[in-house]
Amino acid sequence: MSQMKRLLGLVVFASALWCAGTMAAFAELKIDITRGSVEPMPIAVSRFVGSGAEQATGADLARVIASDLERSGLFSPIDDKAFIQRPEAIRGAPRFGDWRQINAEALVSGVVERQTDGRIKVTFQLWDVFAEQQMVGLIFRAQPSAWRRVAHKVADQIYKRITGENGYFDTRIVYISETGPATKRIKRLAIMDQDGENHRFLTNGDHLVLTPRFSASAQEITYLSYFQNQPRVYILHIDTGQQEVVGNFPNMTFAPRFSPDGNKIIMSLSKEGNSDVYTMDLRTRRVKRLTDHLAIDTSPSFAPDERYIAFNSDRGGSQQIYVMDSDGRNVKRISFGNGRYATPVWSPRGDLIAFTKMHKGKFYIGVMRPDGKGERLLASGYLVEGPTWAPNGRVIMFFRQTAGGGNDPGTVKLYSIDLTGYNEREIVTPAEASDPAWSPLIP
Amino acid sequence: MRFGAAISSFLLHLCVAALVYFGLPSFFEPEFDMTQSIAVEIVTIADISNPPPPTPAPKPEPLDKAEIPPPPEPLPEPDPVPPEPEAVPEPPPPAPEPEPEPEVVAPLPEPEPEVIEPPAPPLKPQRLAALDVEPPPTPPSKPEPPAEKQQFDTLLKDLTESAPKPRAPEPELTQAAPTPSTVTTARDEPLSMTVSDSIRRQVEDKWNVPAGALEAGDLDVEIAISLLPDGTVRKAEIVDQARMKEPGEEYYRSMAESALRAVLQASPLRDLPPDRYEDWREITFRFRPPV
Repeated sequence: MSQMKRLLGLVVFASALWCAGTMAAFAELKIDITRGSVEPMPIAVSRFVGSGAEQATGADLARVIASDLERSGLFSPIDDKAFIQRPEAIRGAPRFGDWRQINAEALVSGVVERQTDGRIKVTFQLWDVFAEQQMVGLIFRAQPSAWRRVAHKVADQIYKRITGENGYFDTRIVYISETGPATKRIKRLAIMDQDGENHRFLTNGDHLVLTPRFSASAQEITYLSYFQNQPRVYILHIDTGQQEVVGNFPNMTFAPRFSPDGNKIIMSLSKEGNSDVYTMDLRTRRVKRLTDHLAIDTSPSFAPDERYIAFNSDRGGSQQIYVMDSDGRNVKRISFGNGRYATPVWSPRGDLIAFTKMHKGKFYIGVMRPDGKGERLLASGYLVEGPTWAPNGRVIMFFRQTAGGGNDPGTVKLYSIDLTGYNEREIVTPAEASDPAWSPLIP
Repeated sequence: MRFGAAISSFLLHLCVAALVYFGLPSFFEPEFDMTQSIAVEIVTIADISNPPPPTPAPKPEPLDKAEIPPPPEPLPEPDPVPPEPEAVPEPPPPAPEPEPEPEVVAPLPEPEPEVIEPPAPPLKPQRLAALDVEPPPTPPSKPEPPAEKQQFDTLLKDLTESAPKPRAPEPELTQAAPTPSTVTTARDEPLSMTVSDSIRRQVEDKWNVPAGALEAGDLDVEIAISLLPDGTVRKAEIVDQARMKEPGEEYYRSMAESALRAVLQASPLRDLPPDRYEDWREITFRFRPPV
C-alpha cells in the first residue's frame, strides 16, 4: 500500500514538475521600439454620397476636407482614382481589405441628405483601416450655402481625433491687400477663409489701413486707419459691416489688439514724443497707461490667460522683447540672442511667443518660450514680419517681401509654416498681401 | 522494504536527471512543416534570377473572418453623438453680400490634392551585364523600404525655403541607437539577438510617430500581441486601456493608435524561427517616442 502511495507521489511530483516547466516555456518576449519616422499619414477621403443636387455637394465636401488635411502637412490624401471600393458601397461598413490594399491608414466616408426644412444633413465617419474600427462618427446640419463650413468642421474633427490637437480649419484670415506701384500703394482690408476661399474686400482703399486684428469672438476686427491724415483705431463688425471709431488718437497709434476676453484693446500711444503701452476698456472707454519709460514701448500682446503682456521695447539699448504683468509691473526682458527682436505675439496655447528677429541684414520668424528659453527660428527672408498664430497654436502665418532689384520692387505675399519648421506654404491671394491676422475657431 | 525504497529513490533520481538532460516534454508541439524562410530584402537583379515572391497566402483568411463581425457595430454610433455640432453650422454669413465695396475677385485656384504614389512600386528589374548572377540569398545592397521613406522626407522639405532649422525630432529619430533586448527562456538559451532585432526593425519601419505628441511628455505605449506560427498577428491590443479613455490624454491616444497601426502593418512578421515558436508567440512591445 505504501508503495502505491509512493508511486502516486512520484507521478504527482513529476507532473507538477512538468506543468511548471511548460508554464515557464511561455516566456513573453519584450521588445523596445525607439525609432520611427515622422511622415504625413496616408488617408483616403471618399466622396460623400448624395443624390440629386447633393451629389455635387458630396464631391465638394470631400475635396475641401482632403485639401484642408493635405495643407496641414500631416496627412497625405490618396488620389480617389486609386480607390477600390466605391463610395456608395461603403454604407457604414467599409471593406477594409480594399482600403488596406491602397495603403490608406484612415478612411473618411459620409452621406449628404437634404432635409424637409431645406437644410442639409451631413453624416461622416472616420475609420481606422488597420484596426478596422470607427474612430469618429458625427452628424452636422446646416444651410446648404454653409457647406464649406461643414467641410472645415469635419476636417477639424478628423485632425483632432488623429493628432490629439485642436483643428484650425474653420477659421478666417484678415489681411491687407496691396496693389499698385511702390510710390502709390493702395491698401485694402480683405478677409477670406483660411483656405483662400470666400474672399471679400472690407474697405475700398481710399484710406490707408494697417494692422488688422481679430477679436476673441471672431466677429470683429480692430485696425488702424488714417482718416483726414489722423490715425484712428476702428472696430469693424464683419457680418453687419458696421464700423465704429474706438478713439481719435492724435498721437501715432500702433498695432491695436483685442484682449482674449474681448473687453479691452491694448495698443501703444505716443504722448509727448514717448511711446508707451496703454489699454482701453471698450465698455467704459477709459484708457489706462501700463508702461512709463523713456524708451519706445510698443507692439503689445496679451497672454491667453490675460495675466501677462509681452511687448517690444528698446529700454535696454536695442529692440528686445519684454514680459510684464497685466498691470504693468515686473517688467522682465526675455530675448537675449544676437540681433533685434520685434512684434511679439503670444500663442493661443500660451506655451510660446512668436516674434520677428533682425540680424545681419536678414529677417527671421521664430518662437521662444515665455521665459525666453528654447528660441527657434522657423523662417527667414529679405523681409519677413508679422507672425500670427492659428487658434490651435500649431501653425504660424506671416508675410514675406522679396528684395526685388532695379525696376522690380519685389513682391509681398502671405506664408504659413508649421511649428516644427516644416511645411511652409504660400497663401494664394488675388493681389499682394501683408499683415495677416488669424481668427479664432468660428463658433 | 528498504530495497524497494532504494529502487524508487533511484528511479526518481533517474527521472530528474533525465529531465535535466533532455528538457521538459511539451505535448502541444504544433505540427507544421515549414521550411526556413529566406531573408530577401534586395532590389531584384534580373527577371530570370528572381526568386518567386514570398507567398502572402495566409493573408486572405483573416480578412474574410474580419469582414463579418464589424458591420453592426459602427452604425449605431453616429446618432447619439453630435451635441454641439448640430447647433453649429447656422452662421450668419449667408447675407453679407450687400456691401458697398465688393469688387468681385477672380476665382482663386484651388489647391489640388497631391498625388502620392502607393508606396509599394513594382520592383524595377535591372539587367546586369553578366546574367550568371548568384542565386538570391546574397547580402542586400540596399533595402527597398528606406528609399520610399526618403520620398516623403523630400516631399516635406521641398516646401520650405528657410535655411537653418534646428528641428530636433527628425534627425534624432533616425540616429537613435536601438536598445538591445536580451530575453532568456526556460531553456536558458537566449532567443537569438538577430531575431528580436529583426522583429524590432520590421515594426520600426512601419511606425509613423505623430509629430505633435513628441513634446507632450511621458508617452510610453505598451502593445501586447500574439502571433500565429507563420508570423501573422493574431491579436494586438493596447495594454493601458484605461488611459485611452481618459479625457485630456489625447496625445497618449494618438501615440497608442500609431503604435497599434505600426504593429498591424508590420504583420506578417518575417524571419521568425519556426522551431522557437513558443519563444516569440507572445510579444509585448514598448514604444518609446524619441524626445
